[in-house]
Amino acid sequence: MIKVKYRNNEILVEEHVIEVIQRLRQEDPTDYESGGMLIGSVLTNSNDVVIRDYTLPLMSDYKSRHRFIRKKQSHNAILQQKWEDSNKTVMYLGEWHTHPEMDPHYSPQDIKNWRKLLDKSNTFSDYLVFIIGGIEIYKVWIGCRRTKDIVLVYKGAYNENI
Amino acid sequence: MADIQKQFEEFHDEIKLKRFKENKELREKRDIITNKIKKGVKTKFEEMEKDVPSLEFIDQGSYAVDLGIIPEDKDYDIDEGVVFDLYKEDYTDSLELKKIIRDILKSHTTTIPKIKNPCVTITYSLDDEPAYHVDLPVYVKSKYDDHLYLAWGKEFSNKENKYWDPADPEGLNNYIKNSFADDAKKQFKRVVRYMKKWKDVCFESSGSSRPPSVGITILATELFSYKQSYDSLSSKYKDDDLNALKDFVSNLKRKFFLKWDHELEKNFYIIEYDLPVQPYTNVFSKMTNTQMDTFYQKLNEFENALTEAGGKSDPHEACKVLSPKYFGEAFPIPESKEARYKKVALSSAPSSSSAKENLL
Repeated sequence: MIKVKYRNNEILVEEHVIEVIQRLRQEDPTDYESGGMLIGSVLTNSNDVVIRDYTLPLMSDYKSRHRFIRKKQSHNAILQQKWEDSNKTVMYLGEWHTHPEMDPHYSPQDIKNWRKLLDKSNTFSDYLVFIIGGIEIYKVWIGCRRTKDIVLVYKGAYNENI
Repeated sequence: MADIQKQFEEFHDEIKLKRFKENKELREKRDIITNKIKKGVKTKFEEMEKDVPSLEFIDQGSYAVDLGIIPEDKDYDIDEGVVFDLYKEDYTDSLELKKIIRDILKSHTTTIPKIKNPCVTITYSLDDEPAYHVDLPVYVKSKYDDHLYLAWGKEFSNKENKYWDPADPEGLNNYIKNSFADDAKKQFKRVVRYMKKWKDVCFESSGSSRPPSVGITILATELFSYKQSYDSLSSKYKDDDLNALKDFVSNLKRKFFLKWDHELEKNFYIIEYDLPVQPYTNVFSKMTNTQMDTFYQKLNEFENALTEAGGKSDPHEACKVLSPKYFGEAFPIPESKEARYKKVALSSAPSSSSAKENLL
């Protein structure tokens, strides 16, 4: 479990979420980019946020070595299903995708895309979480939906025991 | 599969009865009684102008083997064997020594001690409620072998119901104590205690409708096997009491066989299991066919519940299957996973387009 402090709240990312990104990282020169939604909940007694689910690339998405386009409808349908199954406790909380580099950096396109998501997504949370999974390292950014600020909050190596 | 090992262990801490070693109050009660018996026997035999026999005491029952649970009705029981260094050949009336014990303790409690078939029972009351009782089986030796002999019979039983029968209380203690070692032994004790608690919760308390604890215990020495499961978070194996209990219940069920009852014209599930020590008798012999069949049906229902609990992914749901129906209120139910989170409205996001710059 990753824990980061952001303003007055804690943001937790459950280990299995990182494990999925690790499994889909672009180790091989022919691996395509992958990505999906980050899904989570707000704790009742603290307002802390837990990322505890995700969506995976779907048939309708566009994948290549350097690009990934996640389509709207199919992922939102899965999100709705997960929301119903969780007794209406999960919501959209951000995006993850992979990069074919050891230590990942966001591209101008990524930043533009994240700002769009902060602006256009419809969710209970004031901020979104963005994860880029590199080959050796993954990084976590948090973006504020009101100010549109995006800051790097965590950098970690994968758990090699998996 | 939900991990409810923590709940099982908390439950065990709640129901576990401390041993004599750790339970000063009960130990003191035992010592008061054994001292009283020693003194009383001396006085009695001197009055009769007989040689005073030496006495030995044997801790018996669940205390002796560390398998006790806190009783539902708070009526704690202590089993303490009284061994007279006398020969059965000189005491053809098996009731003689039991009456002496009863008479010695007559003024000790407000409830008069009672001579039961296999023992003398002393009941201590607290505010008119039985607080605990002490069962005292009475043994002698024989001139012709090394066995102990237990005095059977009530005060006014017919002659044929008053007799000496070989018994081996220490052999039974050792058999149970030595059946497992280390972590397997710890889990064995927990599983036996879970079974006893289940019995308290799911069976009527009167008569022989309850399967005897000693029967379940000695069956567990044969049928229990130590179970662990792999915990991927810590990369370690840890005890899996749910699986061990379920496995034992399934094995126990397989010990039953079908028997046609001619009188009732019906098939019954029957169980027979012999003591592993003297007198090697069937421990379930007091139960009727109907009672044994009920025992089987209840085990079946219990097995289903344990399977159902094992299939739940949320510990809250898994524990709700078992508590309070099978284990009473002592089995904890953790908060539901979903209850930890706020309810929110349906969310959605637009499409997402990421790109790594092509560095070439």
